[in-house]
Amino acid sequence: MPQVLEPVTTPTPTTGNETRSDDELAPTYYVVCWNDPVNLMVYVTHVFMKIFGWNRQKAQKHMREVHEKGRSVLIRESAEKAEFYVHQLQGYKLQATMEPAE
Amino acid sequence: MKLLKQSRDGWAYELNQQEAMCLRTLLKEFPLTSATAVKITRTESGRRAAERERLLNESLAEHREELKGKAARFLTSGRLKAGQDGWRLRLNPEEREILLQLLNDIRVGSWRALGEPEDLESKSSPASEKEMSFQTLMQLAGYFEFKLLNLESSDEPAAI
Repeated sequence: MPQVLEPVTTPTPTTGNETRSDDELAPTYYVVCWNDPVNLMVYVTHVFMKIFGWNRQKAQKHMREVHEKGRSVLIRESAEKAEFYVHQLQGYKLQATMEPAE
Repeated sequence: MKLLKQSRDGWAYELNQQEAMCLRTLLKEFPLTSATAVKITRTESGRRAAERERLLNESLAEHREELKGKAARFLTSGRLKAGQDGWRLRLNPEEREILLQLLNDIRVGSWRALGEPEDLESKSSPASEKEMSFQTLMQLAGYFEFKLLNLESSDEPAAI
């Protein structure tokens, strides 16, 4: 039976300068919904639930934030996904934009 | 407008004659206004942002064209028809979503045509017949949106 020898040198794990994947380095965007006086609260809540799959409580929290603070950051995503969400929200006639996260 | 039945497959509503006529009129009006270009960002500029904005507006124009076809089909589909004691509106989840988008397009389009007023409850009389028409359509679309989404709840309709 062949014997397995211990290697003379063993690799040392690095903890400082790890390489990050392309996804991690790519810029991210906030998807922001802005207040307007025309979209009904119940409609905005419905759209958030539909598009993001959120429960009613979370959707209402963001809807109220839009109403009270003038805008709500809905999600932070890659450019491609943020763009997708803006298309969806604008399809429902909500005032949504994507803004650089940093 | 009353909710008669709700299940996983959809909803059934009862409408009176006036509501049924109003809903048909709204759908016949679609698209009420021409498309308005929208911004994809409020902080970024440059070629990439411009390209994203172009794609967004193209995609919205296509979406609106699809909605136009769906509005026409909806009117002939028999989803809204007269019954023995009023009108019946039957919607599956996909149809309800389409109807909501159509109604909100009309509501937002009317609001834009009115000059995007901040105060929708203003009691001042409209300046023209055209304005009165936009105001009526905006309110009607909001009425149906609220009913479709909130019949089980006692919340009052309000804009964000």
